[in-house]
Amino acid sequence: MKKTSLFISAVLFLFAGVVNAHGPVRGKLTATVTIDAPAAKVWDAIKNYDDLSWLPAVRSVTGEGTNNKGAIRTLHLASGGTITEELKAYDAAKMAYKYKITDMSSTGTIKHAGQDEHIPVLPVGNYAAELSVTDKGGKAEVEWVATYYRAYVNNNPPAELNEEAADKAVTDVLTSGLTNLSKKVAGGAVPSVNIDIKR
Amino acid sequence: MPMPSSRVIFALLFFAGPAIADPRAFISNQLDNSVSVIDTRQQQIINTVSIAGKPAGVAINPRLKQVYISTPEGGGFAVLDSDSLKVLKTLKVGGASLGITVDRKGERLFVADWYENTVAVFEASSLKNIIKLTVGKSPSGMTVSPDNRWLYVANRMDDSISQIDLQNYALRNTTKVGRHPFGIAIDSQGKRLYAANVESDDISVLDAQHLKRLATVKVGARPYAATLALQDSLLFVTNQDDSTVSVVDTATLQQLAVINVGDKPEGISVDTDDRHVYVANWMDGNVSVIDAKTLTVVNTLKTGEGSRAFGEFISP
Repeated sequence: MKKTSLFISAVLFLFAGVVNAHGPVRGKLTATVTIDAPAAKVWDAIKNYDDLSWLPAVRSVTGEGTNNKGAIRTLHLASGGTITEELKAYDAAKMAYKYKITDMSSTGTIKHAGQDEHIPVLPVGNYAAELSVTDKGGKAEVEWVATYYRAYVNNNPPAELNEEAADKAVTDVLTSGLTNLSKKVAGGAVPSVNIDIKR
Repeated sequence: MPMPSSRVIFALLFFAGPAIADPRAFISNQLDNSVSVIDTRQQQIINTVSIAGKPAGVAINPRLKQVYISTPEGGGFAVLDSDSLKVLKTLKVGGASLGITVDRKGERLFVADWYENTVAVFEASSLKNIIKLTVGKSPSGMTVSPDNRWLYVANRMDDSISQIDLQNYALRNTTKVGRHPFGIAIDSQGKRLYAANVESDDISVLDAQHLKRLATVKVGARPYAATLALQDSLLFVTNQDDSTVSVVDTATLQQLAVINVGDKPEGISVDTDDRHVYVANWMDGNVSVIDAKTLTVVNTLKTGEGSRAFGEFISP
């Protein structure tokens, strides 16, 4: 009995080590909310690529003033950093657009595995997202889907740059964004934002 | 869900006995822990098989009528019967088994270990491990030459390709290519090897015999894998970040077209007709079917979450 339990704990220890040692794996986070307002009204609030007044984390946006593919916007964050994003696709009829992060400022560095590692203002790598609005029986279903890797590309990431940090940061931005969007457009009771993460 | 056409119903009724199976595409849905099976003549999903461990890589063994699915989270691979679609066996290999391929006689199976920087070689009938080859860092895509002589391995973190002699397992050549080679493809004559370089957004073209660099072709953002069609005349490359497939003319080595597919296109493989190209779209969870003669998408088939299909995934 003793031998078996020792063996099992040894195997679990080994397994845990291997699982934590893996390289970056792309995650897909889907945030959805149903806002008590017509879809067209919600789309109106978010349809201009340079207008992120509905997103609390962003203080202001510098952009090109178009919704054309390839348009670049720079987000000036409330926390002081910047994120640069490129518009990849825009479909007014589908009430949707897709974009990706091309650059981010750093909040500082930490030492890990003998190297200085920058902490990007959003601790993610290769981040792309799609924002869409769909009519659901007179209400607006908003879906915000983000795909990203953790910020640290080698094995054994530090806590600041691992999958948990990436998931938490993206969850926070998307949740507060959709919650605030609902407040802005519909007022009243704030609906809960559903978060689903797949990796 | 599309209704079967009357032609399909007629065919099903008429040929009710054991018939020669149509070619099938095996699409690993990494986030769903499943594999979608597509009949490529009917262009329809015929079955979905549950496979635990985040299935990713696919390899076909026509001689044994088996399909191998690598399971990086499960640290091994699963063996499927390609007719009954039953899981026959699952094997543990090592740290993270992603790239998987079979030799051209269906006698040996190769599994790359992303952490250990090795390729494990298995005897296909017995599934006994023959040898473990040390290659470069983060071995990913692999392929075997048509004459069954050489195994080529993309070493992602080393920015190189290894060429291994399958007669004695000796390392014959290692050649630097672009940044982070991932999926690779060899032509039907064993003359040229093509490597998709994820970080440099290009394709390295190599002489497959001596592994000498011949050319570099710019494609789209973060290319993942490649396949050849129409008698090696066209190379199709998935561009993960552009939601497109680049088409390269292999005679001129120029990109001649860009085709819109789904989001995060990854695995790509040509059908046995050497004409239809199947593309797994990770983000959309579906497969785009491209006709190489018209360079258009002729069908889109819903598979599962995180469709990846890394490898040569169509069985005869």
